[in-house]
Amino acid sequence: MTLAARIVTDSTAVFLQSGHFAESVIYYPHRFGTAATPRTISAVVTRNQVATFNPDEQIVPEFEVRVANNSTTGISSEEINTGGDMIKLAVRIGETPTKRSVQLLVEHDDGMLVITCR
Amino acid sequence: MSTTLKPVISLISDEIFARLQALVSGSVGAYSFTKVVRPTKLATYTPQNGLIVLTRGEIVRVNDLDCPGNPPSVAYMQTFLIRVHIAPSEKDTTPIELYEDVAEAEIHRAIRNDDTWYTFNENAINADFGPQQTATSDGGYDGIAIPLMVTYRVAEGDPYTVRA
Repeated sequence: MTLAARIVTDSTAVFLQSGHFAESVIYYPHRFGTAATPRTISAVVTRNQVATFNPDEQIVPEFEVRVANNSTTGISSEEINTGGDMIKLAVRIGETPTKRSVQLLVEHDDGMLVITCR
Repeated sequence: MSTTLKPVISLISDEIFARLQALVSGSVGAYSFTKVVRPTKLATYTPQNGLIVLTRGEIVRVNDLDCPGNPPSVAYMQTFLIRVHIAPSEKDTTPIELYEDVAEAEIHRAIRNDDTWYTFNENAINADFGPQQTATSDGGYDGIAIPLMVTYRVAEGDPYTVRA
C-alpha cells in the first residue's frame, strides 16, 4: 500500500471514527429532479457560533464539516452540489439537529472533503 | 419587554414582511421563493436558494419634510434591504443574472401591490426602490439586495403616532 493510499484509508478508519472525533450527521443530496435518499454519514464538525455572514450582515452559525470523499460513507466530490445539498446537524451539541445548507466546498482530496455549512 | 404597541417604523416593517410573504405562499409571482425571514439576535435560518432576508440599513432625517405644529412632526427615511439568496444547482446552465432579474421583478410586484402601496397602510408618505446590489460572501457570489427607501413622519417625541 502506498503512503497516499494509507492516508486515505486512515481518514475513514481513524479520523472519522465516531469513537474518536466524528459524529453522525444526515446528508441530504438535492439532485435537482432526480430522487435522492438522505443517508447517515460520519463527520467531524467544528461549530463557529458567532460567524458574521456578510451577505445579510447577520450573525449566522457556521460549520466546518469534514467528511470522507466517499459516496457511501461520506460525500463524494463528484456528487456534492452547493446549490441545494444540506446536512442535518445540531447547531449546539445536545440540541435537536436541523438542516443546514452546504455553502462551500473549501477543499478536497482523495480522502476527505472540507465543507462550509450555514 | 412588551411589544404590543409598535412604533410606526415597526408597523411599516411588518407590512413589508407581510407583502413578501405572499411570494412564498404562491399567491403572487412565478419565482420559487423558499421563505422570508427577519433576523433575530442569533439567526436560526439557513441560507438557501430563494430565501428572502429582510433587514434594515441606514436611517436619515429628512428635514425638508418636517411640519410645524404642537407638537411638530419629524420625517425620516429608512432604507430596508430586501436580500434574496440565489443558489441554483452547480450544473444549472441558466445565466445567474436571469434569476436576479426575475427575483427583483417579483419583489417589485409584491411590494407595489396597489396604487397606494407606498403608504404601507397609511404609515408612510413615500417609498422608492433603489437599484439592486450584488451580495457576496466568502464563497463568492451569494445573491442580490434590493434597497427600499421608505419616508415616514411621526410626532416629535412620539414615534408611535403617525403624522401623514
